Amino acid sequence: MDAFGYLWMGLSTVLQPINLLYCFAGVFCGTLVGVLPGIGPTGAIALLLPVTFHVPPVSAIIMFCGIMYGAQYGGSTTSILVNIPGEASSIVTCLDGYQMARQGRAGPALGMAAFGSFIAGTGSVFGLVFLAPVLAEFGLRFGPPEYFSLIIFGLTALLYLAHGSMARAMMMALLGLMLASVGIDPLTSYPRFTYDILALRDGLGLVQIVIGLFGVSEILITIEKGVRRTIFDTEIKGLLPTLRDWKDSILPITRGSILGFFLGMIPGISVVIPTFVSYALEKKISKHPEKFGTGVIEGVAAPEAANNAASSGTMVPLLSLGIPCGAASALVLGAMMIYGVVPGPMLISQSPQIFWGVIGSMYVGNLMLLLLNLPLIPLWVKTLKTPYPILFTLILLFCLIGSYTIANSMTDMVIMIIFGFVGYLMKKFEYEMAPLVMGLVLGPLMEKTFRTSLLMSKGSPAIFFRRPISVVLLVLAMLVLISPLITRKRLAEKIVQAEEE
Amino acid sequence: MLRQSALKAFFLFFVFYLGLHGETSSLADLTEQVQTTTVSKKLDKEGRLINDGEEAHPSKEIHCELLLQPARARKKKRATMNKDVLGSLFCLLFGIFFTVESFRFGMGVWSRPGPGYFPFGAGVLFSLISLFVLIKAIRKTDSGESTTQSADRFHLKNILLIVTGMLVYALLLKKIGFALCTFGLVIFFIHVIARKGWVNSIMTGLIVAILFHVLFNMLLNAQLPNGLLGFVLG
Repeated sequence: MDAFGYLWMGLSTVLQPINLLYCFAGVFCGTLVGVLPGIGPTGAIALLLPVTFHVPPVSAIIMFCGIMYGAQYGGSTTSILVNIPGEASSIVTCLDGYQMARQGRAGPALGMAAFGSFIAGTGSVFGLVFLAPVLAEFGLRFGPPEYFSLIIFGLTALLYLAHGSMARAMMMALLGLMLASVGIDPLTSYPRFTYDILALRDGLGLVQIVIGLFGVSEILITIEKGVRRTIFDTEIKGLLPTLRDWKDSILPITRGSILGFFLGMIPGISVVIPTFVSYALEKKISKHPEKFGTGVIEGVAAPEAANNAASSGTMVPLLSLGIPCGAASALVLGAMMIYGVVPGPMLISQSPQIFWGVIGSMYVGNLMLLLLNLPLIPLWVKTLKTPYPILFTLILLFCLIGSYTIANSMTDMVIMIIFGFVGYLMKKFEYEMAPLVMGLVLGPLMEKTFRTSLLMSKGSPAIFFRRPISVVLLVLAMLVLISPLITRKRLAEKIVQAEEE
Repeated sequence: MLRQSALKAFFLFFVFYLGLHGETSSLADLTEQVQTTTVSKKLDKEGRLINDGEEAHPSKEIHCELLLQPARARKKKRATMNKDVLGSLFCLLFGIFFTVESFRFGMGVWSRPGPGYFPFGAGVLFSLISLFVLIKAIRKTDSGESTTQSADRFHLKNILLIVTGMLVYALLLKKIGFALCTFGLVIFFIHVIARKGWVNSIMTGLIVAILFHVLFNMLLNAQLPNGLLGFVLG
């Protein structure tokens, strides 16, 4: 079968009523958490994971992907109407989107954000269809040493793009690796750090930790800060952008999509950076750069297209190599493993139903989002007016129930609560969570590939430098690590500075 | 199929419930834009004495939003240096503990790495970087660059209350049961943390407990324990 034959298979998979329903549930929840500050796609996936243990893996993964890209749609709504980014990836949208809303052009801004996301979302799925199988083919040549080097490269790329200090991000990635080693050693069955606690024999558990870190700690921080919120009450009219709006935005959307997709593919970049880069690019090539920030539609369309395309881009290494790009996709990877789906280059040939089903669902899901979002915007705005006491109580209850239902175990709940507090402290002490989650997910794979590599080479670490793909990846990782010493400044710092201006 | 449609129905209901609640009870509060930084201080001092009756103190609504901006928060590098010292010192101690422990698991040999090998490596690197961050932080503190910022102080009281409440919930869940525990926890959150009146808290507790019981135990069949109410619910 050629790509289109497979695509047809994927579409027929997703058009089964049960998968359609899960796809809908995914994009709906995704938009909801995108709108609500205080919980993001990562936390939502972690919360829904235990509830969906009995669901067939295709449907569950379709739903989780729906949450990932659905949140990109939802995030823009709050950016435009309230000047609060529901997600970090829509910070840039605030700049022009909120200004447009203040000028009474909230309708076109919301409409263009949705259409831009839709165009980018469906367009980049094409990229995924053609690139992922190629990359997977290439990935078949990867042995344990190559995988080890690839993980090293992915982690260093993540460090390079960390918001704060690189050393701290590295600490968190290592902490993730350390925590991943809790539990029974898979190669020798030796119990590590279990201290005779039965629940620790299977490890700390990705889901409990992520619920704690991304659900509970966010609430704790917010309750402590207690900042105020204003809702910009405006009548939303004319959601359909005019012909002129289209003329202004179609090229920015195209550029944003392409940029977002390719940046999103690089492990560690995830969805936030592409939005900044795309906004900066539009400003640079625009005929009227001085107008950016006062409510131009390009400033909304381009970054919104970029974040949606990037969330499809992150699916490329995830589905073809089994390497996640950010916290949310790391969790999708963890979910696949829980469902017994082995991610990696064999996924496409071994479980084509999952691969093509997910791709098909992205078409359908994007269409659903477009149809769902435009008429439901008033509902989302209303959701945003939820009194915070109710909201935080419900989210904390979901966290508790979610961690309990993983294995009906009290210990899991306690672990989740502890990590909620740890996450709170991490935020206070300015340590980042994304590297920790990446380390936690990649830790077991990294350890296994490292040890099997050494077994293969009979103890010589030179094996990592003898195989060409591995050498290239390690050299790239080294370059990423030492480049800040040469250029004095990292990309992330430049972007933060640019934003400050 | 029942479960799937139940899931969908629940999420719709969840949103509508939130939406309705938002409209009736706190729209006025939200538009008031109370400066809650000052409000929360006042509350800390005066405690709960002034907090009975709901209508009298609309400003007690905890206002919230605007998180998810780690990038912006972090660009301020002037954060308290003592905090940096404390954080990295803790990490260093944890790293050393972890390294020593993993050494005991057995390192194996190069050709056959043992169970302690990988955690040991990660632990050593972690400790070294913590040490590096610690030294950097101490140097900065010594050179007097640090300024303690009041905005970044800890308000641990509510945080510890919430964490304790959740821990108690976790410990009692199996004995007392899901519905009762949820009822208690919601009242605790709404009354003690959010400082709402008793009527409001109990009503919300009742609604949430019933709703969650119906959803999780009856529709999703999540098998959360019935506990003391087993004779009625089971």
